[in-house]
Parts: sequence; C-alpha cells; structure tokens
Amino acid sequence: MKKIKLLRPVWLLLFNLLFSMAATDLCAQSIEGRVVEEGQRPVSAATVLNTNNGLTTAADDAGDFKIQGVIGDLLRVSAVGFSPQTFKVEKLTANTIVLTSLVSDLDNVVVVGYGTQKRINLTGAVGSVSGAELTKRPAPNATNLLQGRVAGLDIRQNTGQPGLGTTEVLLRGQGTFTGSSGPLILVDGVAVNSLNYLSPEDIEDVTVLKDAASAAIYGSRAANGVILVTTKSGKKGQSTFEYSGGFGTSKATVLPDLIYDSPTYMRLFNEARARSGMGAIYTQDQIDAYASSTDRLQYPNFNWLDFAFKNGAIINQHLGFSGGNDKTTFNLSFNYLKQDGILAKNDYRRYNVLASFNTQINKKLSVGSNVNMTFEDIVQPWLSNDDLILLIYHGGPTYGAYLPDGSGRLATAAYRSEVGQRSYTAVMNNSGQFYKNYTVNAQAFANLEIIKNLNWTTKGAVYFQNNEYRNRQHEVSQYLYQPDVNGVHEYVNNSGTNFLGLRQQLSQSVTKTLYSTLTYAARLGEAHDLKLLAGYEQINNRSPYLYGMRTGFPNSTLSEINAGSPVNQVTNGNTQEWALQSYFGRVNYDYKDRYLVEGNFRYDGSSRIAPENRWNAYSGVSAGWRLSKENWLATALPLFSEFKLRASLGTLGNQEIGNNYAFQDILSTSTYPFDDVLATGAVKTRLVDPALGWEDTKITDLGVDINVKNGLLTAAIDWYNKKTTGIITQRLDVPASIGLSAPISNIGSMENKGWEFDLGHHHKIGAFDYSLFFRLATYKNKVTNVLARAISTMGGSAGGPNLLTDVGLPFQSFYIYEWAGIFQNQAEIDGWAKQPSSGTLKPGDIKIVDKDGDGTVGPEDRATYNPFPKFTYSFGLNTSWKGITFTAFFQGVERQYMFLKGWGVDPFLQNAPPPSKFLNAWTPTNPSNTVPAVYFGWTYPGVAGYPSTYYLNDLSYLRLKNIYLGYEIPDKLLQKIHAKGLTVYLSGDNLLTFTKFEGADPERRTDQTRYATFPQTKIVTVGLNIKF
Amino acid sequence: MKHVLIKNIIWTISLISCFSCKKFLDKNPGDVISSGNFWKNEDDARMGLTGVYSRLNSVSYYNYTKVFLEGYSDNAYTFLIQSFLDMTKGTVNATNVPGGFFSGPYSGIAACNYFMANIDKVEAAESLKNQFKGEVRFLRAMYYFDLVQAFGGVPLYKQEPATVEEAKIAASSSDEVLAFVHEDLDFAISNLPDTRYFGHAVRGAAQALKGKVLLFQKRWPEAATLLKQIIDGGVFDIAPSYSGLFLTATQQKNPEIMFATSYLAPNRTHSASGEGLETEVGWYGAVGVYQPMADEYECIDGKPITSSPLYNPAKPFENRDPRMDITLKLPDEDYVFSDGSVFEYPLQETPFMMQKYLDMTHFPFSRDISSVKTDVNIIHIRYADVLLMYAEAKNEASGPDASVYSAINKVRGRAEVALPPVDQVLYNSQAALREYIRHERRVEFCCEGLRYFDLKRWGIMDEMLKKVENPAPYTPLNLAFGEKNNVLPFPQSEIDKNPALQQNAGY
Repeated sequence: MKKIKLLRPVWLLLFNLLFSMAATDLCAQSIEGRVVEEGQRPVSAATVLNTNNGLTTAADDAGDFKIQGVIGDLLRVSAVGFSPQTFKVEKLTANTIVLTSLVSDLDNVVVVGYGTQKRINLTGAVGSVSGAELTKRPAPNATNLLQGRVAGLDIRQNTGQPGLGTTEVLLRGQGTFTGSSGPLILVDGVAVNSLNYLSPEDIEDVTVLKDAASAAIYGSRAANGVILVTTKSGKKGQSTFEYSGGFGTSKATVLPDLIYDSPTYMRLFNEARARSGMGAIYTQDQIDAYASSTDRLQYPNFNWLDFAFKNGAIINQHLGFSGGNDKTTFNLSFNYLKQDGILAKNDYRRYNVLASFNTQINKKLSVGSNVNMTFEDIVQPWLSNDDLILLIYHGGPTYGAYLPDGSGRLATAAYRSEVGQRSYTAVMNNSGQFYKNYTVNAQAFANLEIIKNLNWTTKGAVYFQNNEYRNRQHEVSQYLYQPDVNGVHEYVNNSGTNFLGLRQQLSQSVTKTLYSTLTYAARLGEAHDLKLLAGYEQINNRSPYLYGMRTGFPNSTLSEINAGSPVNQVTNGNTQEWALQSYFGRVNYDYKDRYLVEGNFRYDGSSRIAPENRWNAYSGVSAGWRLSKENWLATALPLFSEFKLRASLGTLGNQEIGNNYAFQDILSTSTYPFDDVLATGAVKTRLVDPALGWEDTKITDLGVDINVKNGLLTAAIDWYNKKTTGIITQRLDVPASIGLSAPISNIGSMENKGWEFDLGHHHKIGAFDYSLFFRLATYKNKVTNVLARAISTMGGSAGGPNLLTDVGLPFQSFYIYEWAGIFQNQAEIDGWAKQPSSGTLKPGDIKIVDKDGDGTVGPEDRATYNPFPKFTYSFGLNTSWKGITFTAFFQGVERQYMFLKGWGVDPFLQNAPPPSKFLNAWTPTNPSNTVPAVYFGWTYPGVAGYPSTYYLNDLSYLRLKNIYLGYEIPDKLLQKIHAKGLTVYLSGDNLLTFTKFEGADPERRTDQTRYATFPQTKIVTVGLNIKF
Repeated sequence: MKHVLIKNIIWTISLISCFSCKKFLDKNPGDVISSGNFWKNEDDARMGLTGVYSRLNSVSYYNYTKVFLEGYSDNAYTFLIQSFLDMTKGTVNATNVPGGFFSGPYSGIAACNYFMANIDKVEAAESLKNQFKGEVRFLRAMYYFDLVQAFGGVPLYKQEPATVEEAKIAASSSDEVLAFVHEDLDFAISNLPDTRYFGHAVRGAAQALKGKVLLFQKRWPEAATLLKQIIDGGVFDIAPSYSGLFLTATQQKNPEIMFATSYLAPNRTHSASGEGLETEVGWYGAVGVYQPMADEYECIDGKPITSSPLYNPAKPFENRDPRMDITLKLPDEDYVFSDGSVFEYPLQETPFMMQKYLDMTHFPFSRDISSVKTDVNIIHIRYADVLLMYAEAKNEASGPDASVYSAINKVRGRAEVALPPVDQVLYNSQAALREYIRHERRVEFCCEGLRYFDLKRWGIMDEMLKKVENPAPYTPLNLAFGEKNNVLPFPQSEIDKNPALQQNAGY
C-alpha cells in the first residue's frame, strides 16, 4: 500500500504536465485534433460537433479532424460503440480527445448457460474475467490463472511440478463429503475435465456461475458452481496476424532452512538416536573427521537443496491469424509452451492448435466449427512430485551426490550405518515416467433463424483424450561415499526401484455431447422484454484403458514392451461408461430494464443412479431490481450509475459421486487356483443401496451491485447460504462384522454460508488511467447432519491427525491434542497428567494438555480446529499512461490451518536433516520451551505420541502474485514495419510473499500432512506481442 | 416455408429423442457380474464357490500375512504387522487392536453366507451342491473358530443379515458360536470327499479342524478319537522333505498338506501390487526370530542344547535339528548377490531371520523379481499338526501311551529331519510329555502362524513372552502378555458402529 501512496505526487505532476501543454493561441479559426480510444488507438469516423457554432465534421481513419472554432468552444464527440464526450477547447492544435468504450464493466455481455446475457441484466451471482487479464501472468496453467480473479472461487495450486494439473478448485466452500467438490467446467459449452489443456492465450473470457439460479440450467452437475470458458474467435473487420512470445525463468519460491553442517548434523543425529535408546550412528572418529577436515570433497557439508534446485526456463510462443468479413470469421492460433522444472527431468511441453470458423450461409442459417487440439509431453522421474521432494529433504550432508573418486558412481550414504533410503540422484539417474497426452475438443454448430426472433441452435462435440503413460525403471547402483580401509567404495544396492521393467498404460476418454436449443426473444410493447430458451442435451462418456507390464529387459535403454520378457508379464484393462440426458429451459423477463426476473430449469437423467430414481428436476429463480432506473432514486442520488438488488434461490445436484455403478448389485470377479488350474470366481464384496438417489444442493443468494459515477466506485456484494442434503457417500456406520464394504448412500448434509465482496475504483486523470480492485470471500462450513460421527486419519505421514466429521463442526475438522510447551525436568513430568502414548517421558519432550483434568491424556482431550480458511482475498492496481501499463496483483489466504510433519519437520526421519531451529533445541542447559530436544523420526513418542498442535501451522499468506509492466510502442514508430501494434512487457509471478509460516511455501495442498512438497515457482518473463 | 422448417425441427428433435429411449442411460460395468442373472446353473455355482475361496487370498490372516501372526507370540519380531509391540507388551486396547483379527474372518463369512443364501437357486445335482456347501461350511467354520480364538464370543450370523441394521447384534457366547462351528464341520465331514487335498477342502481337513476345535474346548477324548480316525484313514502322510512343504514345486500333491491358501503365478501371486511373502520377509526382513526360539531346536542327538554333548557354544549352529536351518536365516548364513556382495536387511532387530517359505532360487527378493513369482501356498493344516494334536489330546485324556510317542516320533522322524525318537524315560509322565509336545509343536510349526493361538490355548502366553530375550546389540524388548482373559478387545470402531456389541471384559 505504501507504494501507491508514493505515486500520488507523480499523478499531480502528470496532471500539471497535461494542462501546461495547453499552449495558447486565441486567434486561430480552426481547431485540430485527434480522436482516440483508451490506449491511444485512433477512433475512425467519429462525429465532432462544435456546440458553439453548430458545425459538424467527421474524423478520418487516423482519427484526425479539423473544425472551425475558437478556444473555449465546447466540442461534442461521438462514435459508435463509445460514450459521447464533451470537450472544452483550450488550444487549437494537437487536441487529443479520448473516448471511453461503451463496453464498460457493467455494460458488456457475459456468457451464461447456453447463451449470453447483458451484464446489467444479470440477476444471479456471476463473476467474470477476461482472457487478457489472465495472460498478464506468465504462469502457463489456465486454472491457476483464475486464482484471485473471482470472489468466492478459491484456487489452490498443489504443486510447482510442470504439467501436473493438480489444482484444488472450490467455489463457495466444500459442498459435499467424498464426491467431487469441484465446479463443472465447460469450454465453449462442452464439459471438460480440466482447463489445463487450454493455452491461456486462447481464452477470450471466463464466466463463473456462483448461485443456484444461474447454475440451475446445468442441473445435476452444477452443485459446486459452473465455470464457462469461451475461446477466442475471429472478429469482423480487418484480418490480423499476431505473434507473441514470452521468455522467462522460474525458481523455487522458498526452500526450508535445514542443518547441512556435517559435524553438527552427525552430533545431533547421535543425540537423537540416544534419546530413543538406539546406538550411535557415527563414531566420534567419524564426526572428528568431518569437523577437522578441510577437504570438503571428501568430507562435505553437502546441501541437497542447493544441489537439486535450479532455474527452469519457460518459453511461450504464440502465432495467431484471425479476422473476418460480414459473413465469415475465423481464428487460427498456434501455441508452444516449453516449461522446464526447477528440478532436472521435470519437463513439460505443450502444443496447441485452435481453429475456429463461423460463416453465415444465408440470412437464416449460419454454421461454424471450433476445434481445439493439444499435445502435452511430460517427463518426470519415476518418483515424482512430493515423493521426489522428500528424497531431497532426506539427503544427509555427509555425502555428495557422486563418489569423491570422480568415477561418476552414485553415493547413497557416507557410511554403512547411514544406509536406508535411495538417494535423489539414484532416482534422477533412473529412466522415469513419460506422459504423452492428446486432447481434442472438436465442435460443430448450426444456427437457424426460423422466424424473426426465434432461433434454433444445435451443437455436436467430441471431447477426446488419449493418454499414453510409461514408467520405465532399471537398476541404478549405489555406493558408500566413504571408502573402506582398502579404499574401496562398498556397493550398497540397486537403489531399490520398485520394479525393473516397463509399465505402460494407454487410456482414452471420449465424451460425446449433443445439444439443441430454441430461443425466442421479443419485446412486447414498450416495456416488456421476454426471452425464452428450451433445450435438449445428451452426453455420454466411454473410457477404456489397457495396461501392460514386463520385466526382464536386456539392457536399461530399451523401452518398448516387446523388448521385455513375456515371462510373468501382467495385463489389465477395463472400460468405464456413463451417460446423462437432459431437458432444460430458461425464461427472462424484464420490465423497463428495471424489474428483472429469470427462471432456469433442468430435468436430468443419469446412468449413475438407479432407473427408479434416475430422473430429477432442478430449478432456480432469481430477480433483480435496478433502483438506479427508478426516477426517484435517479433524482435523489444521481451519483449512482447503477444500483441493483438481486435475490436468487435454486436447487442443484451433484452427479460426480466418484463411482459410475454405485447402485448396481454386482459381484466382483476373482480367481483361485485349484490343483494348478486358475478358476474364475464371483464373489459379493460390497453392499449396495438400491435406493441411492440424488444429492441436493440449495443455494440462497442475496446481492447488490453498485456503480457510483461510472466506475468511480463499484461494488458487488453477495451473501449466500448453500445447503447440501442427501450427500452421496459411503456409509460409515456399517460394522466390519458384515464383512462387505459399506454401501454408497445418501447420507448427511452440510451448509456453507458466506459473503463475497468485489470492490473497484476506476479513475482517469488525463491520460493517466488507473483502477484498483479488492475482493474478499469468506464462508463458514458446517456439517448439519451425519449418520454417525466419523473420525478418520489424515494421510501423508505416520502419526497424522484425526479428522472429525460431526454435526455443528466444519467437515473433517482437525481433531488433535494441544501441546503446552516442553518438560524442563523430571519434577515437571511427575507433576503433569499422565501421557501414556508418549512412552517414557524425558525432559525435553512435549507437554500435552489434559483438557478434562482426569489426570491422563486420552482421546477425550482432543479439540477441533477449522480446516477451512477464515477468508481469502485479492487486490491490485491497474494503471496505464500513454501506452505504459503497470499492474500489480496480490492474493492471500487468512488463517489456514495445516497439520504438517515428516521430512523437514521431524529430525532425522530417514536421515533427513532437521530444520535449523533445532540448533536451538531444548537441552538441560538450554531450557527452550518452543523447540523440543532433538528427537529421531516421525514416531518418536515424546513428541509424536499425540498428534498435537505442535504440528499445526497457520499458513496465512499474502503474496504478490503478479507484477506487470508493459509498453505499447507508439503507432508512429510502427508504421515503418507496417505493424498495427507492438507491446513489450516484463512480468513477474510470486515475487514477494508475506507469511509467518517457517521454511517452505505456505501455498500448498491441503489434503495431506506432508511438509515436503514440490514448491511453487517464482517466474520472471519478458515478452512481446506484435500485430500486423 | 415456415411450416417446412418447423416440420424439420420437430422431425430432428424426435430423431434426437430416439436416443432418449431408456437404453441411453443404461450403462453396465463390463468386468463384473450382475447378481440379477447369476445363480442359474452349475457353472454359476462353481464360480460362486471359487469366489468364496478367493477371499482366502485377500483377507488377513489367511493369505501370506498368516506368517506375521508369529510376531504376536514369543517366536518372532514382526515390525511390519500392526501394533505388534502393543500385542506383546500388554498395551493392546480397543484403539490399537489389529483389525484384521476381526475384519478378515468376517469378510470370509460374508462370502460364505452369500453363497449359502443362493446355492439352492442353482439347478444342479443335489450331491454336488452338498459337496459345495460342505466346502463353504468348512471355510465358515474356520473363520468363526478363528474369531472365537481371538475374541471369545462374537456376533454370529448364521445367514446373511438382510440389512445393515440387522447386522448390529450382540455377541453370542463362544459356546454358541462353537456349537455352530461344529454344525458346519459335521456337515462338511459328511459331504466332503475323503481324498487328499487338491485345492478344495476335503473330509480330512474338516476332521482336523474339528479336532482343533475340540482341543480348544479341552474335549480331549473326543478330539483324540476323531484325530485317530484321520491317522487310521491313511489318506495323509508325513512328507519326507520338511523344506519341500514350503516350496511351490513340492507342495503339489504333497501328502502332508491338508488345507492351504493356494496361489498360482503369474496371475495369482501373493500380491498384485508388487509385494508378497518373499519381498516382505526376504527383502524387508519383516519377521525376525528371537534367540529363545532358536535355542528350542535340539541337537541331532535329540537332546536340548542345555544337555547335549554335541552342542558347542562356539559353533552353535552345528549338529542342530535340520529344521533350524530350513526355518531360519542363521547369523553366519549369508545371502550373496551374483556380484559377490552380501545382502543385508535394512532393519534387523533380532539375531535370526525367518527363512521358511522363501525360495532361495528367487533371491534377490526385490519387488520386481519376487512379486511376480511368489506363489507358495500358505498352509493352514498339515498332517504333522494332526499327529501332534492327537498326541496332545491323547496325553491330556489318558496320559502317555505308545500311540502318543508314535505320533510324535513320526513327526521327528521324517527323512529330512531324522531326529531320534522321544526319550520315553525322560518324558514318561503326562506333565513332562505335555511340555515336550508343546516344544515339538513350537519347533515343527515355527514361522507358520500357529504359535499365537497355541500359547493362548495353553494359557502360557505371559509366561513365555517374559522369557523372550534379545541379546545385544539388539534392543531389549521386555515383552508381557496383555490380553485380558485371553481375548482381544473388539476394535473401538466396531463398538461405535454396532451399539449392541459389548466390549470384552477388562477393556
């Protein structure tokens, strides 16, 4: 915020400059000037009216005009598509009149389900963001770019590994238990699994349907909201050829501070083991050798983080051809992305082609197609993502990656006593995992105007994914770093790959969508506007896969199945299918643009539900009242350009229940050998609830949209209450004595109540244009009904926390013990409550609070902690001045609890160096009350015996997500090269982070307890965009 | 024009709606069988029966994890198995009790009950159906008996519960459950073929299991009579090779094996996910054997190491019972890689490691190599067990006699073991022979997962656990029996889900 304040004097200076330019010459007879739009682009064919003498003239193609008049005259300038402006003449030449495009934030058209709607007429809670805004960030993943752009849409990138599309997307909180809580995503009206195959460059805009009334048209798939993405198509007018390129570099945002000083590490390791009653891992001679040696090759302080993490290049190239005439428009776009990881062998390549075409066959009929093809090429080691990171974390400083003898052989430990886990380099020197993913989203559509105002649109689409996956592993020999008495580096093992051979899987997913809509729009009389839509849609998906595995390859380079031995080969394959069939409709009515009503309806049948319950109806209704259109308000408070109250109510469903055949009474097939012959069997292994029905989500939404003085202050504020009932999940009350897995049933309900604020300020001081925005979303998640209170354990490490799901609490609340410092001496231990799970307590272990005061710490002493954030927010600044654009974008999360342990937290887990805070750990002479005595591993009972708040962190953060500085080269300079526009820019992602969380990145996945995760990346990119 | 258009639209929409016939939304999985059109003919019955057997491969402790039960006794240290130190240090409670003791048998029982509920729908010869029922009831008896051995009385479902709510019942007494076990076994004995074991349960197996139940119930004379019938029947015999019992190639048609969980590579190995007994035991070192267990092996003169002149503490593994080297990896025994380097376990907490069931030709036992080959059958009942159970029952019923010594000698005297007969002077009383029979069982069945139940049955778990020593450099263990009344607590999750189930006394 400080920076913005500093800018103030600069604005004043600019202001003064502009007005001082008004040189005075009062005697001239004609006024000359140029009409431009924001960004200095000329506006052709603008009409200029001198209100003092009544003369008019038209500006030419370059926007230049000349009209008779004198200083002090008032010119009224108008042009189609722009708001008219009155301009007081203060000089006779070089006047610049800037027109504001009519398509302002509140006036533009937004995409809604099966159609579009003028933003001013929206009655639901709908957020949107333009592609241009998204691509200011250099991050290559379209989903991640939505972070912070729409209030209520929480995006959490799970990993910094390139090409791994694991992003948590939650709209208005967690909506269900175990089914999908992610929103429905549609690209050009067709549902897709993820946005990650898209090149962000190809996105025209993104709309988010947040409330039930808007989303009800998507019925059984819309419970968690809907994200509608529209790709770019050609525009009528001049054809353009566009090239843009970005060249960047990325590195880890933040890495932990671990103890890599070998003698310290070795001493602490021995101490930690002694504390667990285990023998020393190093002899004093060994420690002394490291402490006294100056030969850092032989006795290194090897820092594995420094060794492993590097800068990764990101290159993005885009070529676009687009344009059109009155009848036909086209857009052809090619994209290439090369993203190298911040670790070696973590590479991502993406190739996109987008071809869209639209033509008017005759007055009545238009047809078009839109084909988006993507090839993704992903390389990663056989242990990848977070698993790879923990290998780096558990590397000890006593040995380097390669033997000191220069032979290039790999080291896995300094001494035999250290041998345990495979080393990072062993994994990196193995073959790896290779993905080749092809995605095609091909659509064709036709639109027929049957009679005036009655349109029939039909679209057919195939969304095709073809994925090839290979996992190739071979032996990688590992040796001891320190030679034995004979100078020989002892062979340890083949690095414990989990198999030696090739696993290959070919999988496909084909989704066929066909929908057809009739729309009717009419104005009845002067005041009544009516729009009707009715439609039919059917979607079916078929996903086969085939898997094969062979071992026994003659060497480590051959990588085709045929090269392996057929002995003991394994094959698997299966096909999954689902289908959805739907009828839907919408009614829009408005009276004098003042009273707005919208109703949406959908009737869905799903293959995932038993035939008796298969069909279900969803509907939503919303209403808006534009107070600003009321004369009394317009008179009383003319500063309101827009003042709208909105209310909506509707029901939605969730068919993403994680199982295509949940209701079917089926027998598992299995095999059993009798007398050396394998027989096939059928056995019942699960219970089935044939009455399985739909999950039901009701959302009530109240909102207000305010615009003061055409953007000087804008606000969109929403309150909602989202209630989900009949949640589809596995029953948790089924005793094991039934001997079958529990059925999937409609169990439980929960609610999310929340607020969303989207505030903006837009102002212009001469050529200086700036806007500020601030978004905040907060919700309270509460389970309102469960069949039985359920306690589970969060995965990712040993000693993970319990999660409690019970009425009145947030879903899967942390259910853990509270720690209260460190036992300083035996007397304190004796005076404290018994901690039976802490083993034999020693001074330096942690105290756990006996909440119920019964003298023993037990399960009843656990307390709950909310796993959901208090609020998420983003804010930023957009400025432009004479072709210079500067934007800054911040995003943050407040009070996000996570329970984190393992490598990087628990000292010496698989030899992992402890975090450096253990340099200040408790010892009898250093009575710390915050850092326990250095301990061994993640199950040391004195610390980990009770999963406690010792491991609970608040991962609140505020992050400068992006900063962007762009310069549009003035047109004059471009004329020589016949370019229509050239922008050069510098963009930086994740450059600054404010957090109290120690060590690693606070922005991380929330679904597991592992501290060692693949870090996010800082990216700095320079780029240019040129149009011809 | 307008009319033609509208006609076209209606035509198109009705064309589209044709897809909307019911079929469009009917999607069925292709890799499983719909129960609706099953249970029609003999093939269905066979598939159903195979399905029941296949639970043996997938539930604990009937698959290869049976050997890990050894870790709950005084024989072995088993770090891979759930709560093994809680089970042997007296801290077992409702939260840490290994759930497999409960869920494993009940998964099997559910499969049995489902089969029993449907088999009569099948059109097939009554005798065949009765044989199938006999097999299934044999399995169900085995599961219920194991539940009783672990927990005492348990919820008893003689049929499939119709609803989840109907399954929430109190535990029946152990007598009630065992009465049902006998019912099932008597049916099985009457309807199973009196042949050698060939993958399907046979009469001898049902008789042997019934004998074991009677032993558990201390109904000695009945047990002795029944077990004698098996011995006199002559269908089964002691195999000359001890090591061969635990190798795939020599398990087939082995006269000694009476019932086992069967595997067949490559499609039915121990674990589809890439591990199995050889990887877990042979590579990770999941089962470490304690010193006192190893000390139990006699010298080849049939005398214990404390009294045998053949025992040389400097060379403790010479002149010992051959079963020792077959069952254990001895401290001076190296597993050598092809390049000459010596294999070491990542974690070794005891002087000895389990070697029984490992096929040393498969070494190294890393996941890729072993997992696809490990298909050794896991033995539940073998003839040596029948002989030693007979010896025990007869000795308890009426004291030592020739048939008792003969049964023990038969086990000790197999060709590969060839130990001298029992010293009838030294073991001439019922009490002395009782100890000796227990000793012989411990040695004969070491690492086969029988010891835990034997110790509970004899009521000497605490006494024996306290004798476990783990010499330096290994960590001392201080084991003690913690089960109250010889029964485990029900898992807390089960008490939570089934309010009618009362926790066992003492927990």
